[in-house]
Amino acid sequence: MSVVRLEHVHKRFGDVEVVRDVSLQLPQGGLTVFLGPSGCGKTTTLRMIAGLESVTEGRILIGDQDVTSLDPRDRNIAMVFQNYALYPHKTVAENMGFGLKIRGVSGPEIEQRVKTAAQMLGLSDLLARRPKQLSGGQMQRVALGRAIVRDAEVFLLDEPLSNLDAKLRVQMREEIFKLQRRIRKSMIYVTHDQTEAMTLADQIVIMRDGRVQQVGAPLEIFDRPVNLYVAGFIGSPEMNVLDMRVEGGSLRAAGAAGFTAHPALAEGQAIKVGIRPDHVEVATTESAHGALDVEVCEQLGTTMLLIGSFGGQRLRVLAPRASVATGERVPVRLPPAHFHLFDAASGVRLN
Amino acid sequence: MTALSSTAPARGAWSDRRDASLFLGLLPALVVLAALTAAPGIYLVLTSLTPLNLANPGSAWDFSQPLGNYVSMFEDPRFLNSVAVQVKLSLSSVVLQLFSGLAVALLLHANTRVRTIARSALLIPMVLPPIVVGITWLALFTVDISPLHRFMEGIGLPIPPLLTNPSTALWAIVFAGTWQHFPFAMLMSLAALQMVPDSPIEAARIDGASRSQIFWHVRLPFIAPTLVVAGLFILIDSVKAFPLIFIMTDGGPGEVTEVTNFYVYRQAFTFSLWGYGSAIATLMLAGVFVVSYAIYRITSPKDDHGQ
Amino acid sequence: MASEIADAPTTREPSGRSKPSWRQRNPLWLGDLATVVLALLVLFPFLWLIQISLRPKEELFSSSILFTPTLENYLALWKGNFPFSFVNSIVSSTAATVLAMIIGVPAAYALSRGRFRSGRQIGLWILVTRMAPPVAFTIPLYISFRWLDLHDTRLGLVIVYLTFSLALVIWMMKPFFDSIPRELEEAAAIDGCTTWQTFLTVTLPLAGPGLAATAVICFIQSWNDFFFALILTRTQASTAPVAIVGFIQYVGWEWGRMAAAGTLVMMPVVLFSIFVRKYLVRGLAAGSIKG
Repeated sequence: MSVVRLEHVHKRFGDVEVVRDVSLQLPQGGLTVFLGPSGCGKTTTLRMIAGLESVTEGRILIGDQDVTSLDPRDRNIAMVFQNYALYPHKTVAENMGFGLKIRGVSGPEIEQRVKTAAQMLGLSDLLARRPKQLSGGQMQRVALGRAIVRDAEVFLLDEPLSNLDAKLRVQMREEIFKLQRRIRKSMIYVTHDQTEAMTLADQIVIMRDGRVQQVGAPLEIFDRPVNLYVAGFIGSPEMNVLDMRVEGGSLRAAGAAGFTAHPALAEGQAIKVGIRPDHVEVATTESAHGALDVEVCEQLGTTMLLIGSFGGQRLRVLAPRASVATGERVPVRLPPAHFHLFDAASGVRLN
Repeated sequence: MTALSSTAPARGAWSDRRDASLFLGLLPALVVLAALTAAPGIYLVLTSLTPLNLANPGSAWDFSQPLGNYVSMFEDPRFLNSVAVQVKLSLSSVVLQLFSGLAVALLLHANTRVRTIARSALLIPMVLPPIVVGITWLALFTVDISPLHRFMEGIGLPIPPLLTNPSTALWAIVFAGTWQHFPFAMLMSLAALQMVPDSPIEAARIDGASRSQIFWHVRLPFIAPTLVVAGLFILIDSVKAFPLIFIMTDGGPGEVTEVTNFYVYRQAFTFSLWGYGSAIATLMLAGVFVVSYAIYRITSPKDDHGQ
Repeated sequence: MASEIADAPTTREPSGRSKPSWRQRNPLWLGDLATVVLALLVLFPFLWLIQISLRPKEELFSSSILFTPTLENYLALWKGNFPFSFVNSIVSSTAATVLAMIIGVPAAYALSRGRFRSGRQIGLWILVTRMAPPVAFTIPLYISFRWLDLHDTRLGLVIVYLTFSLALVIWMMKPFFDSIPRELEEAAAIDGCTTWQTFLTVTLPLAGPGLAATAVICFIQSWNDFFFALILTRTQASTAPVAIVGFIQYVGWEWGRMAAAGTLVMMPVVLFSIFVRKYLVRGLAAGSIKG
């Protein structure tokens, strides 16, 4: 049962198409993350769901209601902005209660709901303060509180953590996770940070240039990226991509042993093979598929990241800590079981 | 402010409803402005095409010689004189006010207590009612009572009465006007100087530039656009010069200080030649429009639109 | 080759240079001294007028700096037309300012937030209204006022003041509204506010300082007007600046009373402008204070 549905939604500004043919079904009670680099259309899509941007073509449904032409206030949504957008001249309590006040809810009930939400977010002592007396994390919580008090059907969050410093971001991430699981409201969360996406989402929607690239659970996307772009976007350190060719029934790359080619592949086909750095193994000379000329060795503590040249192509290896010097030739193994095969021309996944 | 809206008219979009609602708030102002500026403006132009005057009120609709007034203008030596006086006044106003305003701004640019207070105090000439400025300088240029004259006489450099002398009257007015209006250029220069970023100045200092070199090559290019806009404002304002002339010289001696604005006043309200006065006023309005357009183009921010 | 390095006033002095830096040769107090001298020179006319108003008749222009201050010039103003015209000034300027704010502030908001196809043209129109020579409006208004019987009335004057006041209010408030983040209004929209509810409950409270500054500058502009009042009023509605001219028409100029009247007329605006110094720069872009 989906709470938000987008059907063939397009958004154009003049001649520029910013969102192209996006169709999505977002599950009830889940946390969906729109992930992508700046300019990919994720924020615009969010704002269209909120009603802050008009829809050029297509429909948006919330619950089962077509909201495409409705005002934001009639859509039963609440939003948390990147810059918090707290009313500077109102206290925390007034900020949180404002939405209810405008809708004519009675004073005592507003007070009650504000109190409950404040307790949930640890804001009970701050209710009489003004936004300029709050820290970044506190302001973010007030923005969340404002949304919770409204008890809307869908919560929209536009990069809520990007204005916080790294440590605070991790902490707030946890809090948002727990909060969402607790209140069980549907949440749409926009970010460019894949860590946030991986840790928070029930479902990730990866966008690029206005189009949806892939929709799925975090691990699903991680294990089976549907194209080269998604493969390179998710996962840190970034996935290795090697050029290979199908020759005589084998996949060949320069300077490496051949691998048995997948039966579906055509002779002579150019393939991009993706393999994550942690799946590449440092091997013994006998079992090796080839050698890595190490250019950089980054010691990370328990692991190390080797970056260098594998038969002329760039390769990154994440291996258990060892002592490796620049310029060394390290034998490596590439287990085919961990290959992600992509067509070199289209980038589409083949296996 | 022009709309960069979606090409397809989105059905019943919130933003369109908002624009309609906002327009309702704009409407009263538009109505008032139309009634008080557009209507009189049109009436002005229409009147300029007639020979309307107090002695002949029926000529309000006499369009037989529409360009009659405009032709007479250019054959009217007194009008042409007023234009010459106006040009002298305007050019000297722009130059003197910009120069003195910038000079004072450079002095006041530092952040000491004294200079901060001075920045407020030196605004006073600009906010004074022009008529008060007029009577003050009238007194200061009246030899019998003026401490300035007494001082100059005392140090052996007596100044003759300036306002009654045809060759100095206009410059006396320019001087008083510069005193009155220099704070405007000062404020604009101060604001512009504040906005000059620190990095180019630091870099120039490290490169060994002297203070005047830093001014000419770093600060000035940055503040030049503001100075241009300020100059245009001063130009337009100089066209409106009236109270000082009215009180200090009444256009004289002779017609030496009769600027175009003052001449229109004479024609329209002393001689009640409304048609003729309207024609000159129309020309002035056209000139102001051109310069305003230039200012508007320079100072309008680029349109920005969320995506 | 020790090159000369100039210092900004706020940085520390370089040490160990063989040539003294510009800052060392021109310490800040020198500039302060120059500033004080300059200020005294510039403000001399203004101060001179005030002190004339306090001098007894016999000593108006005597060279002695010391005198017994007296209020006789101010008291003399009470008899005659001046207090009445002073009240006219207050009434007309206040009424014009209030009306201009009521009509102009929502208009400025609409121009700031709305997307109108003729938005640019409206902005230009407002600028031209600000910049136009008063005589361009006065001739047609003078003619129509005689016809409408508005000549020499306070209502007529307020109507005329409304032209440039309205343009000024819109020109000054629009940038203020522009500077209030749109996100605040979007949050209000999501919270349930209509366009004008947002304006009243969120935007307007935040524009407080701007509103105050605009109102003051608007008042000053009307208060200082000379031309419109000169042409369009006679005896009933004449304003203080025009009344001052009356002191010149008598035989032997009444300098004492003129100085007193001048001082009274300029006091409100001088005091007001000290309070809004910060916003004068913005208002100046509309050429607001200049006559």
